[in-house]
Amino acid sequence: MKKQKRGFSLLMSAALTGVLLCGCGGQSGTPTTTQAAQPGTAADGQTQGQSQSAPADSSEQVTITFWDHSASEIHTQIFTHLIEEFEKENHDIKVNFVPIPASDAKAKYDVAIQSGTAPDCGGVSQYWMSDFIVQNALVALDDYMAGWDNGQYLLEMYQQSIRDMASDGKTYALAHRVTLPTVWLNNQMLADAGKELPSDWLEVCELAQELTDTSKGLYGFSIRGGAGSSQQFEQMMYMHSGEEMMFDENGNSTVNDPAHVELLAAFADLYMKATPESDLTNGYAEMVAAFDSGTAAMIFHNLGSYGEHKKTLGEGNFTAITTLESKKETQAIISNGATCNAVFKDSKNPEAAFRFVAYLNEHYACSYFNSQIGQIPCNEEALQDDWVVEVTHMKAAADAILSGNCTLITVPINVIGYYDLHNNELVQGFQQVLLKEISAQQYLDDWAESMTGLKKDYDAYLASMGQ
Amino acid sequence: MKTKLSDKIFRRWLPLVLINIFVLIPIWWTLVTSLKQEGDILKKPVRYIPDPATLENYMRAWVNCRFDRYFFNSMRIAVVSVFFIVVIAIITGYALSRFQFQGKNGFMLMLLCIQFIPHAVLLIPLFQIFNTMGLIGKPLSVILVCITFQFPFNSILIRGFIGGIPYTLEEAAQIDGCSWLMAVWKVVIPMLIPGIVTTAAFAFIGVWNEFLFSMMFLNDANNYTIPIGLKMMQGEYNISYGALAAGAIIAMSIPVALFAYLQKYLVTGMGAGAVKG
Repeated sequence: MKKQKRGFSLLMSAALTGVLLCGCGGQSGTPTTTQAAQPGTAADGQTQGQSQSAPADSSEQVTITFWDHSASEIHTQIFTHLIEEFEKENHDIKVNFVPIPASDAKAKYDVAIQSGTAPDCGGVSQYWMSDFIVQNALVALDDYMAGWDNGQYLLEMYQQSIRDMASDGKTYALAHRVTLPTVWLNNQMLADAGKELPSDWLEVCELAQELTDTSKGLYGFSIRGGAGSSQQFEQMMYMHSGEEMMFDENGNSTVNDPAHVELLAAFADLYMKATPESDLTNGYAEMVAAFDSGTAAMIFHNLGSYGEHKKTLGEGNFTAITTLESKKETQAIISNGATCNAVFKDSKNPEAAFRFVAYLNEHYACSYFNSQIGQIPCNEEALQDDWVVEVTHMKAAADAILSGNCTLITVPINVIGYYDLHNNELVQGFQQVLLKEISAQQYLDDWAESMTGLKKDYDAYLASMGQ
Repeated sequence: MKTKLSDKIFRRWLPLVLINIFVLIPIWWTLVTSLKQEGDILKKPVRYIPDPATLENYMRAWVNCRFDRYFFNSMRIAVVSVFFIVVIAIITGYALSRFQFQGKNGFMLMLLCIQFIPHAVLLIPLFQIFNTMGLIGKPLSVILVCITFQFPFNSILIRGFIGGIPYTLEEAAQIDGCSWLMAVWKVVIPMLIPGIVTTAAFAFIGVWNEFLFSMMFLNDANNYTIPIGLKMMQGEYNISYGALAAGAIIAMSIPVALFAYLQKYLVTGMGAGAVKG
C-alpha cells in the first residue's frame, strides 16, 4: 500500500513537472493573425514596401487584427461600419476588430510587445510612440506611403511631428485625429454676469473670479488637479507665453519661463476662491461633470469632450475657445500628440495591415469617424467637409490648421521618460502648488530641471545610436 | 433578562440602520442613474427619483455594449472555475486537516504567503507561459489563472470547516464497511455543505470580478467578460454614465441573487468553521 502511494506520488510529481516544463518551453507563440496559405502577388500594386513575409495573395483571404485603444460604444459602432466598407472593397482582407479600454490600452500593448504578440495594426497615442520605437515594435511606413496616392492629403504638420518622434526620422504611424486644447465656457453664466469672452489666459483667471458665487454653489472654474493636471497645464502655459521652443539652445527646458510662472501663480490663486475644494483631486470625469452640471462656468480641456457638453448642456449653451492671445502674439497650436494608426512588427501581413490603416486615414473613413466623435481629422479633404464648416469651433480650428500661418508646437513627448515624469511626479507637485505648499517658481524650476535631465539622457541615447 | 428599549434602539437597530444606509446608498444611486435619461444624469438640481424613468440604458448595455455576450462569458468562466476551485480546495483542505506529513506547516505558510504577491507581478511571465501553450486569447487561460489564485485561500478556509467535523464519524463509517474514500464522500461531504457553499461563494465573487488577467489574456471581444465591458464604457473623452450604471446593476445581479439564496448556508458555514470537534 505504501509502495503504491509512493509510486502514485512520484507519478503525479513527474506529470506536474512535465506540465511546468511544457509551459516554459520554446517561443512557438500564438500568432495574432492567420497567414496566407501560399505566397502570391503583392496586393493592389499600391504598397510595394519592404516586407519580411511573402506578400498577401489576392486570391487568399488574410485576417488582420486591429486594436482600438480607446474603446467605447460609439467607437465600436463606427469601426464596425468602416470595417464593413473596407472589406467590401478589399475581399482579400478580413479585419478582426478588438476594442481595448482606454485606461488599460498602453499596458496591454506593452505586454503584447514584450511577448511578441502585438496585433497587426492598431490605434496608438503619439506620446506612446517613444516607448514603442525604442522597443522596435513599429513598422516604418515610408516605403508603403511612397506608393499611396492619398497620402498627400495627410496633414503634414502632424506627420512631421510623428517623424520627429523617431531618431531616424521615419514615419512610424499615420496621424488620424487630434483634439485642440479648448476653454469651454457656459454661455448662460457669462450672460448672467454680463461679461464678455476672455481674450487671454490672465483674463480667464479674472473672469473665473467674477463668475464665482459660492452662496449659490457656482464657481468660475473647475481645475483638473488630479491625473492629467500637469499635462493640461503644460498646454495652458505655452498657449499663454507663446514660447515655441521646448528647449533653448543649451538644451535647457523652457518650462520655467517667467510667463509660465506668472500664469501658474494666477491659476493657483483660483483654487478654493473660484473653484471647489474637491478640484484638488479632479480627473477628467470630475472636471467635465462640474462643467456639465452647471457648477463651473469654465474648464480647460479639448474638443474631445464636445459630445458630453452637447448631451447635457445642449447645443448653443456653451462656447469653445480654442485660441487665446499669447504674450508673444504668436498663433500656435499646442499639441500633446495626435491619435495615430500604426502597423506592428509582429504582423505577418504588414502590407494588408497598412492597407487598412491607410483606408482609415483617407477622406471618407477619417471624415466619418471624426464627424461622429467631434474631433479634428488629420486629413485635408476631411477638414473641408460640411460637418466641420458648419460647427463654429471646428471651423475655427480647421481654418487655423489649413491657413499655413499656424505653428504646431508639440510638447516634448518624444523624450523618453516624459510620460512617466508627468504621471509619477508632476501631478503631485501641481497639487502642492494649489495648496500653497510650494511656490509656482519652485515647482516649475524643479520641472525644468527634470525635463532638462531627461533631454540630455535622450540626446545621449541618440548619440549612442549614431544619430 | 429583558432588554431595555433604549438598548434595543441604540445598540442594535441604530447601528444596523446606519450600516445599511452606508452600504445601500451607492447601490441605490447606481440604480437611479441607470434609470435616468443620459442628458438628465449630470443636470442640476439633482433628481433623486428618475423622471422620466427609462430602460433605454439597459437596452444599450445589453445590446449595443454586448453585455449579453459578456454576461455569458463571465458565467462560463465563473462556473467552471468555481467547480475546480471547490474540488481542489476540498482535497487540499482535507489533507491539511487530517494528515500529518513533513513540510505541512511550511506548505500552509506558503499558501498564506502567496496571497501577498501582487498579481500584476506575475502578468508577463504568465503571459509568456500561456502564449507558449497556445492559450492566449482563450477563456481557458483566465480559468486557469482564477483557479490558481483562488484555491490557496479557499483551501485554508475549507480546512477549518473540515476540522470541525469529528474524525470519529469517518472512523465509524469505516468500521461499518466503508472504504476511506467512501467515508469521506458519504460522511464528510454532506456535513461540509455549508463550508462548500461558503467557499464557492467567495470563489465566485473573486472570479466574477476578475479584470486584470481577463483584460491582458483575451484578445477577442467575443470572449470578453463583464468587468472588461464595464471598463469599455469609460472612453478616452466620454463616459456613458447611464449605460455604465445599467451594466453595473447587471453585473451585480448574479452575485446578489446568489448571496440572497445562499445566505442561510453562509451564516451556518461561518459559525460552523469556528467550532472544532
